[in-house]
Amino acid sequence: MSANYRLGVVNNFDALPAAMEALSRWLEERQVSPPAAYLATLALEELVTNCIKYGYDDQAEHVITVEVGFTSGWMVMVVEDDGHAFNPLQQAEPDTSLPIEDRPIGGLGIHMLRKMSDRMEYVRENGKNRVTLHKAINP
Amino acid sequence: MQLSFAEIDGDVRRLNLAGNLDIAGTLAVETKVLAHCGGEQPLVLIDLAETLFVSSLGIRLLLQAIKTVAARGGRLFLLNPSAPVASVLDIAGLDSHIFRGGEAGAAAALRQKQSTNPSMPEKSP
Repeated sequence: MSANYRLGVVNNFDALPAAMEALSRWLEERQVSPPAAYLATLALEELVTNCIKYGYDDQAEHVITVEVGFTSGWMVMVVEDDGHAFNPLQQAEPDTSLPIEDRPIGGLGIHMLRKMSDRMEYVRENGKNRVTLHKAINP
Repeated sequence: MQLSFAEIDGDVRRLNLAGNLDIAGTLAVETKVLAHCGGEQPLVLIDLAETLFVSSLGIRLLLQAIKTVAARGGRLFLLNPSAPVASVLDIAGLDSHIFRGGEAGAAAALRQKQSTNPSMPEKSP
């Protein structure tokens, strides 16, 4: 992928709004199709939030990297962190057909990314989690 | 994220959410949204016409609102979501709470369902 955009987000919730705004602005300036832009912004929030919540035991600062690029009609987004190993593809799918009163609150973030992307991949390599999302973009 | 509130004919609470229901937006309005879901048999419309983005945290808030209202014997419809937001609601399994029609029709449907059937709302026409 030719990385057109690269962003480092520290593992602190306070850093997330500015990062999301910066990515949204960058996507808007490039007139990225609304579904792809929505997915990219959603993935930033969901994956970084998961990492901040569950990825680290220490109090040190860590940087989660986000790359977005375009190639041959596809948007490709890569999110990489050095937190605990976590394969989102192994997370159980929530049962969204349950009656509301029986539905658990939460657990939908990864489900939404899997449904909204065309392909989602996970690799654990060199002590890092790397999630890659592919989304077709309109020509 | 901006929350505005109005009452329709004194019995239906209409909440308008303008902006992004992302982590910052959801945290900014969640207490107020849930406060409007209290009381006895609340009838609540959440207008999403000006909601541009909903993340899982936003879905969690909407789900909490629906559960809170239902637990109090009331009803809640989501109104006017844009296509991208409607798609997210569908993925999250909340599409059955979208009322596909205008505000007056939604308010009438809330009152009708309230008086005839205390169960969860069915998919609107």
